[in-house]
Amino acid sequence: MWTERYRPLSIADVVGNEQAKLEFIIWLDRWKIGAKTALLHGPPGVGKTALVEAAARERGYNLIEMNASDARTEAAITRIVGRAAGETSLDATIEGSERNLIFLDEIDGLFGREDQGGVGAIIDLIQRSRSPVVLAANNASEPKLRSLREYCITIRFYEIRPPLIVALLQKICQLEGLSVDSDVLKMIGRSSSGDLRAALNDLQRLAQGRTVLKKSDIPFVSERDRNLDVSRTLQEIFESSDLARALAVQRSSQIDYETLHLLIHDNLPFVKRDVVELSEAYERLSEADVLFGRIRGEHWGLLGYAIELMLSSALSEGPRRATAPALKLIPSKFIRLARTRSERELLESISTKVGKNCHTSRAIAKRDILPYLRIMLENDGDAAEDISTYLGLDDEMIEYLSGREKGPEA
Amino acid sequence: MSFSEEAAMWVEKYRPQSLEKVVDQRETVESLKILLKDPLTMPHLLFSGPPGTGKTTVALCIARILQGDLWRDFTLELNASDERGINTVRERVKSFSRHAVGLLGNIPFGLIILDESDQMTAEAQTALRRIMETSFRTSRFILICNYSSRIIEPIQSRCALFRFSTLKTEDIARHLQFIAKNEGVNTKEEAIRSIVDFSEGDLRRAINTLQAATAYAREQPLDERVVTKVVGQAGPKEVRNMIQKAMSGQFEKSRELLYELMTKHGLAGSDIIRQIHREITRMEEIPAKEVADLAQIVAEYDYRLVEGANEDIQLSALLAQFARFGSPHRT
Repeated sequence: MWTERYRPLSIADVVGNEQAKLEFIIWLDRWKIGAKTALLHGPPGVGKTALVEAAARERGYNLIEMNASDARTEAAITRIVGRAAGETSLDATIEGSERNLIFLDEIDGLFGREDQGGVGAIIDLIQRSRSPVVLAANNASEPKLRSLREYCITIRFYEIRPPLIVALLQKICQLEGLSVDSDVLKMIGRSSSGDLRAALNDLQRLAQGRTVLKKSDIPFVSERDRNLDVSRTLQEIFESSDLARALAVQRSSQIDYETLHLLIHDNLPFVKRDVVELSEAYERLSEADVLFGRIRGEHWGLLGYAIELMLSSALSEGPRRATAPALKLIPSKFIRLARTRSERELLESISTKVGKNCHTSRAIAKRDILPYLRIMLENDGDAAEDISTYLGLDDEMIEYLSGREKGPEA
Repeated sequence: MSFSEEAAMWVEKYRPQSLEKVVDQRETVESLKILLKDPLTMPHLLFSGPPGTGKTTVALCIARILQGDLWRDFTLELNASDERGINTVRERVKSFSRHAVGLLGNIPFGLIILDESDQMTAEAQTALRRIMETSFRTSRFILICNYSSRIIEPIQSRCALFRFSTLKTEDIARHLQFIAKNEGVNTKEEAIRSIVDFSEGDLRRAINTLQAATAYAREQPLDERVVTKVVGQAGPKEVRNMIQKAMSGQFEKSRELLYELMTKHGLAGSDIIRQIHREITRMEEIPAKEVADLAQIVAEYDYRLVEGANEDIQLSALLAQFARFGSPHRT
């Protein structure tokens, strides 16, 4: 892998983002126990991890690294890093002057919905740590990271400008003894959207087994287009007849796989009109979902299979349809949740009250008590009032429970 | 019988306040009484059994026995399915046991009733086990669950396990009759019988049905017809409708109904799938020999629902299988 072979060894070798590099080094050199942690954020492939690794090497830190592809539970963070955080002084006395730098990479991917405690564990780590802690994320404005921000200085990384990318690619071509058209390098630089890692990968893939690379050697598909929007992504995936193509589309799409999963689900019945086809597609989509469930922040090795299963549910078998159906571009689940928010909140507060008074959970209140409560409130004036008072229901709640289902039947 | 007169919900008004009044569960109650003779040696307790068989009631009775009138101050009721993860439980238990230490007096220990504890993940249960150990000096846990097999071994081995069995139909009937008489409801024998049939051994459901049916009947006598109406209204009609739509090939409509169940009724995927299962055995249009095949599909997707990440997708996939099953050119 060229991305490994040409990993920057020193801070100076890290390409671009000079301002961010400076801020980071100043922070690291001035760090003492109790100081804020550094949160590096910016798009993928712009050198966040590379900078931390180079800085650790140059400043003589032992780098303790953990990222989203490791176990991500609170327990794991505490176990893996907490040990190092709390006991460095002990280690230091034994092993000499070794210093640790703790690096939690990709923290925006760090917490599945199961892990409410994850952010808390990180905050705990920051506060207890006797070593500097660095966090990296693609998107620092993620709501789940909000509570972290008061413990951090944030350092912003930007896309690498194409000329810098091209210059680096040129250098690497020389080192590899590769003769490449400057047009080709420019094309790679442009299509990388500022992602140096992607550019390097593209170059390696194109140059594989060659010593000369001309413009005419470049197949159309090699252009990395991160800007495939929702509509085009879906259309192309539903039109793909083989998995390789669908995968290529997915890779160059803006949509994350979770949203894509929901959108395939939403659109399946419009694309697969035949019941047998539909049920087979759903079967795969459901299997993909089972894998996503198992991944849940831990078994990242399964992600590839899950994505393949998900995409294979959408492949088209028969000939192209003359008229493409109008596809839904926003997951219906999001729309539904937004539209029914106030109703759901009301339902939650009713079930909380009922649950408290009847010694059950909200879920059981909803399932086993509310249906009867509705009938009681719909039908009997006096008792209805007693019940509402007893449960502490306000007018809005009573109206919701008694009024809504008043059909012709009653 | 003493009851909480102020309670307008009959399930609460007629909830027994002493162990003697608990319906059925004689053996369980007798062995509990022996344990309670010397409260200080009481271990943690684990109650398992189907819904509406008296687990929470017995737990609350124990709170009264151990803590008298102060039970509300020294008993913490938690629901595993309501709490956001084990940390909340840990925090609440911690602050609770801090308070309990200072105030004990005649109270042997604080009591934590953790309902639906089989809803917790194995990791959360492991954490719970630690909490149970570290707080043993000040607190006892009563864990309540439907299936004790879903409780991890280390917790089971630290608890005295009590199984609650489904209530006998004649005992449910007697209890309903008592309530009806006390409330001055004009009920027919057949109405009681059909409530009992419908409640499937769940006393909470039986009492709720009786109260709803009483409200529905107003001044009229409560007969079988009223019960049938109420039972029909209480079970979401959308479930059967959704199955019918799917099996007649109207997948999109069926999926819409599914969404409605999830939002309007706020039902969890696991509840919906259980209702689907119940409905397919009751729908007359489904031939008996096909029920088993459908049940097999339901079972498969129930499993996937537990394992998977997204309820919308799993339940929709189930409906798609139903659509295929119902199609005339089934392969």
